Formats: sequence, structure tokens, C-alpha cells
Amino acid sequence: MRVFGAGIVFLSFVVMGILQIKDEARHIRCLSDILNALNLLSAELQSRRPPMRELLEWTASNSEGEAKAFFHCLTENFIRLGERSFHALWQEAAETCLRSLSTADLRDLESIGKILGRTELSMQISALKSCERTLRVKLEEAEMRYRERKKLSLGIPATLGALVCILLL
Amino acid sequence: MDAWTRALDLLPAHMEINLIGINPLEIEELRIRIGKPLTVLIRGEEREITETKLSRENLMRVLEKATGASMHAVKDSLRSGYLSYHGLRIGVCGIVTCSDGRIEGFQQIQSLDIRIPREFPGLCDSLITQMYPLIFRNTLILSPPGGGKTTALRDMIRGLSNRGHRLAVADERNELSAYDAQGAGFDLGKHTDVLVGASKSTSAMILLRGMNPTILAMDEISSESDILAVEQIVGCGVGILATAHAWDRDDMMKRPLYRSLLDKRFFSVILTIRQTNHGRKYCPEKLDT
Repeated sequence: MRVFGAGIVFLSFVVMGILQIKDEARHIRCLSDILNALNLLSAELQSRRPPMRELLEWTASNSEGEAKAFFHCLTENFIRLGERSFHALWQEAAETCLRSLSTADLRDLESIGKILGRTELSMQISALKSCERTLRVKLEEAEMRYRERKKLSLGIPATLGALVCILLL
Repeated sequence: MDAWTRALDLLPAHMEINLIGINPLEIEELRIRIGKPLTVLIRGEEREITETKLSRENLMRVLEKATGASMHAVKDSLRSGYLSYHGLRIGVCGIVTCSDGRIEGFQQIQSLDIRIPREFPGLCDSLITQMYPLIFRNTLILSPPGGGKTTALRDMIRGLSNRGHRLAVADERNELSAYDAQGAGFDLGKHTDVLVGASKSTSAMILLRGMNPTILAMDEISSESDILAVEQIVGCGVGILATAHAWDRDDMMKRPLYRSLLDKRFFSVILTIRQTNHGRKYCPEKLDT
């Protein structure tokens, strides 16, 4: 019974570590998807200057993961423009769909919702580029953190689990 | 949805509007100015319809809705000082940025003027019969701004088209047809083709070459290039139906640009719209050609 209990404790510590790594990996994946989507969006905006709805549809169809869901949601809710501001629609879609992003990431993304479609093209592009830069730095930091913590996140819970097991046994 | 409802639809939902004692059918314009109450123009007089003063955010919300959150996609019309939204013409004012004397864009938009177009089917039926007993004659419609030129032109296009004339319309600001993604907003008759968005001079050449019209219609002749377009149309033997800003023929003769239109005898009929206490009066006048 003790061995079984100690085994469960050990496993739960290891699983906790794995989940932490997976969370971080999801965060990185989401940041990367949203960065790619913003990059596509700004390139399309600069080259073709399509109306916003068309631009969002195009970005949704060429994005992946949570970024795709975000732009898809924004396109669907676009019909409510007027009743709600574009910024509010952007925020709502971000909070609903980009669940793997942190509050700080969402705050960075919010700045785009305030500018996009409301100002001159050059201002929109510079807001997009500025947000892309901030998110890219965050992505690089997250990737570095991930590499550093990958071993620790597995190692520490495993060691702790082993220690608890020894104590129990 | 009528034009007034479309205009109201542009306003933020939370805005409380007081239209007591106002007949919406009489409203000619809706005016939005930052720091001032919302007003409507009725018979040349502005009346306040909100108690609260409008904020920049209020104005931005209207612009956002009117452009579909796509200010970048309407840059060219913004440079000309207006936007089109489902047949509504929205005049834009504020601080512009210029380069070589040419407007590059708006640094800050301070006020908007939403014009409410009206449709009165049959308004010009009797005029058409009176002015053209046998054949169509080149016609210029005159009135001051807001005097009903576009409404009259729209009805004349419809009337002439339904009488069998093949009309082509150079609708630069999408005001005459109010075309949108779902199709035409205003009925312009059975035999009418419309080109929306291009300048009048460009449209005229495209329509002459491509659509073989018997009459070409355009709103607001206002520049040298428009007059050149009229010259080309008349030179091709195609009829012309147009409007210009002027009180009457005498007022027109005071302006060199318009005087050349009369001097070159492009038009055979001038239709002056006068504002009287009993409403608008339409005064056709035949010219010696």
C-alpha cells in the first residue's frame, strides 16, 4: 500500500512538471501563431489595403491555432460594428480565443485594436510593427525560459516526488 | 432602410436623440462636431437634437461604422473631403496634411456632415414632358448647395430612362445610385448603366466607349476636367444631363468656369431650382443654341 501511495505521489509530481512544460509550450505556440498572423495582416494591409472585414477573413483563413480562432471570431462579430467599437470587438475576441496568452500579452495586443482601421495606413502599420516587436521579444524570452526550465520542470518534481517516496517508504 | 434610418444607424447606440417636433422627412443633413451637440439641418436651419456635447470617441465611432473600420480603404475619397456610406455622402472636415499643395490625408477629423438623400419618384415627370416635347435636349440643372439638384437629377434620369432613353451615369460619389454590395439603392430606370467611384472625366470616357449611351448624366460639374468631359460627350453626339452649383443663369455667368459652359453652348436647357416659401420651384429655360 505504501509503495502504491508513494508511486502515486511520485507520478503526480512528474505529471505536474509535464503540465507546466505543456502550458509553456502552448503559450509559445500561441505567441508564434499570433505573430505570424499579425505579420500576414500587416503585409496584406500594406500591399492591398483591403476593407477590414476582408482583411480579417483573409488573415483567419491563413492563420493557425488560436490565432485562426481569434480572427475567425472577429470576422463573425464584425456585423456588430457600430453597436460596439472595433476595439471592443477585438478585445472580446482576444479574451475568448487567445487563452494561452498571458494578461500582459493581451494588453500588448490591445493596443492594435485601438488603432486598426481608425487611422492612416502608416499609423496602423507602425502600431502593428511595434506590437510585433514586443511580442517577438516575449516569444524569444519564453523560448529561452522553456529550454532552461524544460529539464528543471521535469527534474525538480521528479526529485521531490522521489524524496517524498523515500520518506513515505 | 431609408436614408434617414441609415444615417441614424451610423450613430453610437447609446446616444440619446430628441426628435420631438421634427419631421424626419424634412431633415436634409445631420451634423457632427466635436464638443458641440448633434444637429440636423431643416430648410437651411440647424437644430440641436442632443443635449450632450459630442466627444471625439463619438465621432470616431461614426467614422468607424461608415468606413467599416477601414480608414485606409477610403483614403482617396477622404482626400476629396467626403466618404460614401450606402448612398449617404458624408462631408469631412478637420486638420489635413498637405504635400505640394495636395491633400495627403487627415491628421485629425473634427466634424462630419451626413447628407440625407431624398427620392421623389415622378417629381420631374411633367418637366420632362414640358422640356422635351420631341427630343431630349442637353440640360443643366442649377441650384445652390442643398437646393435639390441631385434629387431632381436622379428623378430625371429615372424618367428619361423609363421613356426609352439609354442613360449612362458617371456617379463619382455613389450619391445618385447609392450602389452597395446588395445592389442599387435608388431606382434609376430601366435603361440605365452606372459607373461608380471614378472621376467624372474618366467615367465619361469609359461610358462613351463601352456603354453606347444616348444620354450621359453627371452630378456637380465643378472643375476644368469636368468641362472637358462635357465637351467630349457633346462632341460625340451624346446627350448630356448635368448639375452645377449656382443660384441661376446670371449667377453662373459671374464665374469664369461656368461661363465657358454657356459660351460654348453645350446646353440647350437650364433648369433652375428656386427655394420659395411654398417649397421648391422648378424653372426650365430654353437657351439659344
